[in-house]
Amino acid sequence: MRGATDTPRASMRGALAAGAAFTILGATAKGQGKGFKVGLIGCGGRGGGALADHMAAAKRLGLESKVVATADWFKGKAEGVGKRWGLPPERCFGGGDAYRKLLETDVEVVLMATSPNFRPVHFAAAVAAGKHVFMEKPVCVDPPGGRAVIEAGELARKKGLCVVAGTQRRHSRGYQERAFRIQAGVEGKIVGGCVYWCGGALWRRERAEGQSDADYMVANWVSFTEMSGDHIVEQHVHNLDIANWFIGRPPVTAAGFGGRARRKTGNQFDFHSVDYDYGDGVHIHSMCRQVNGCWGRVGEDFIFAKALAVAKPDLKVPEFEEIGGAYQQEHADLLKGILDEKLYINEARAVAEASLTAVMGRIATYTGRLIRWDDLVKNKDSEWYALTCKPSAEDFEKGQVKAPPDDVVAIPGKD
Amino acid sequence: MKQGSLSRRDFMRGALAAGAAVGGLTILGATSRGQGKVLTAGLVGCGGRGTGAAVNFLEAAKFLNTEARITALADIAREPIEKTRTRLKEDGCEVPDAKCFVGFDAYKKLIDSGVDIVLLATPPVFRPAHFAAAVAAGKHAFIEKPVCVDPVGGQRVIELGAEAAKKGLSVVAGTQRRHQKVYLAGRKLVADGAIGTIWGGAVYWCGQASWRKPRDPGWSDLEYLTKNWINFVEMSGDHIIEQHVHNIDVMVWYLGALPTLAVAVGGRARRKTGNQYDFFSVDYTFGTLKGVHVQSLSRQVNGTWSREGEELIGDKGVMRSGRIVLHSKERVAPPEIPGHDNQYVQEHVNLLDSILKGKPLNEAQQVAESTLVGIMGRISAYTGQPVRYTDVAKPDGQYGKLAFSPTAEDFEKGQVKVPPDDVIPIPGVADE
Repeated sequence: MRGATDTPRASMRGALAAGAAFTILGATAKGQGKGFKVGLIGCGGRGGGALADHMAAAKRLGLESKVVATADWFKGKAEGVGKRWGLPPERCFGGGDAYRKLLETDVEVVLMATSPNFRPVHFAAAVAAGKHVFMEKPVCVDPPGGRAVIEAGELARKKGLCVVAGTQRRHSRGYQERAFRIQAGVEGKIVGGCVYWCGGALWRRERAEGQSDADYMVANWVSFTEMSGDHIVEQHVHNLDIANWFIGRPPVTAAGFGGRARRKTGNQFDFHSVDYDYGDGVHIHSMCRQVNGCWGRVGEDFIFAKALAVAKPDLKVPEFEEIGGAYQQEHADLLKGILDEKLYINEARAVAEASLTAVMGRIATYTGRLIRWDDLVKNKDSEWYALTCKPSAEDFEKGQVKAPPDDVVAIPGKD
Repeated sequence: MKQGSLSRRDFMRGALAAGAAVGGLTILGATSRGQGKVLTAGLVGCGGRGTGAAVNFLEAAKFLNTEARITALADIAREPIEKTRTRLKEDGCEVPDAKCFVGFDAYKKLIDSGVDIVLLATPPVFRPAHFAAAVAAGKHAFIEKPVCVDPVGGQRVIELGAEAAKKGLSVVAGTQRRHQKVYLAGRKLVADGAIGTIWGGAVYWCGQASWRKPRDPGWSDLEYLTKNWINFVEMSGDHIIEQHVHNIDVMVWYLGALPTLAVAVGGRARRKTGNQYDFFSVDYTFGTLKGVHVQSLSRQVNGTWSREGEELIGDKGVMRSGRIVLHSKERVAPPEIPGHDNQYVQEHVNLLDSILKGKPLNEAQQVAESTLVGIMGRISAYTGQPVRYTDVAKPDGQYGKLAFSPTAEDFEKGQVKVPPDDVIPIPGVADE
């Protein structure tokens, strides 16, 4: 990735060149090349952080990007972040259709950091509107959502729109070097491994007096499967993404166990353990937990058949750039892709597949059944193919939200 | 029967040799000295598995063309004894009234009744105490798996095994895969490097719910616990050891090492009675094998995916429940393994043969170790904490002194209080 855009001067050259070569940028961006108009959908902690990372990356690349709009379910939150970037309240949109209003502005780059149930709809709308996108992980909570993201990602490619996902390990130097060596075959073949996100309980928000179902679910989204996909999707997707990336394909089947030991609100589990079979005898054991006072580990362990390694003594591992940490670098890589078509980047499929991998594990732990990848992406007759978490993003937009009961969780199997 | 090394003539030679060796052995009772000795066995625990073990024992004697009899039965109740008696009669083996012992101390009377061998097939909570009595009395033993429910019990069985070895006693365990042709052949191939260096694997006993006996209002705590034993961790050790120990045993046997660390999750989805979980998933790390990981999955929930067996992957191939598949797709011919085709019979063939030949076989340590490995996983799932092997295997380990109550001794004294149904361990601490 190191190259022409490494220094601010080089970046400017790239920016000017991009201005000439790209037609997808809005009219105001053409020929200007000094920066982009940026909008944020989802103004929580991660959204605010992503926006700050994006602006820092733009600055590093010599761009004078500008925040032009924010959107959130709660208008107050949109205004809160907007204020930090000098936006007037009328550029800060609230409500279920806030994302539409944001996309109707002159925004060029859209950052998406709402809860993941909204992502497929928001992403498809952004691509339709011709926007470049940074989208937080995960990008769906159910199989139709994952497929929608893949489809919109393909359309983005056709339109020359860049898409970067918040699976930031893909922008960390250490991980990229490792992936490069694995893909070059010098480490041997991955024949097994374990991936972990075992830690303490996350935050939760108790229901406020008189709060609507929709407001409660949005505020306490990290406790509801319909909003977050459950923590195997919401958090552990990072590690599953590494497994897919390093092995080079998504798993074939998942068999899993999970349950709820101590979670207080919502309807999610707080632990999952999944046996992912990647075919060819390769099993990856995934473990994730959000319970206080338990053993913790976040990371990935892979086992390599060294005997199958290819000797490449002259292999030169590129000097991957990671400035300001992977959270900033992912935005730098997005911007470089927009500025220079040789650096075009589109991570929609990878992040959708990682999210679907996690969804597959969740269906396995919720039902106790063996779940096949093809059941999620290919077999239209499968009972999982059309599995849709309700209330859906559309229900939120229409105002038809009924919160599922707190504390009623999935029970695998039958009596 | 495939003819292996145990043709009749070979066997007779072995038997004669054993007879000749007897002069040197003091461990067989006085009545057993000399030739033509009929080996006698007593069964403690007349449930389905116990009766099966007794029938397998008789079949093994037939296979070895030797005479051996079941001469005594013990159980806490009369009814199962009668069922076992009836079944054994079908095989021409009659146990007189005087040799049928009832009660929690029945095993002592059985051991004192002049048997050479005891077959121990009660729920595992009783195994260490019964095995101790058998070893003290100089009896050979068949010990059903698992052999304990807690770390203290496991350590005790290992000590008793060493004591049995000193006395020249044979001890065979009910982890019958170690006596099963396909596993023995696979083990030999793996040991010879057929699948190369082993990198990891997974072992499974995922199936449907086990039986349960809901409490009858007329039952005492003691009756309820013993009748519904398979649902109480104090009695069975939970299903990760009661059932899944078989696969765990294959894991440690094939790898030739014990895991150094277990981290696990588990819970209870649909179990109706007792205080056990109904699923466990354990990440076992083998620190002595460059960090090999094996995942253990066990579940007893209806309507869920089923798989039972073991899979280990190496750089040359995969082992699936004893069968070898090479990455190169080349076929590997498994070695011919002599013996009885039924592993449940073969374990008794090996027991009898070792006694007759005066070459004691002693599986106490290996089955206790495998049971302790299962206990590591159980404790990790129950607590959410990582558990090292030394935590359970050493008396001064973190869980080294963990012992459940009621113990076998409590049952003998009649001091039994049933733990509450449906109160299960919850890992971690409450979220404030």
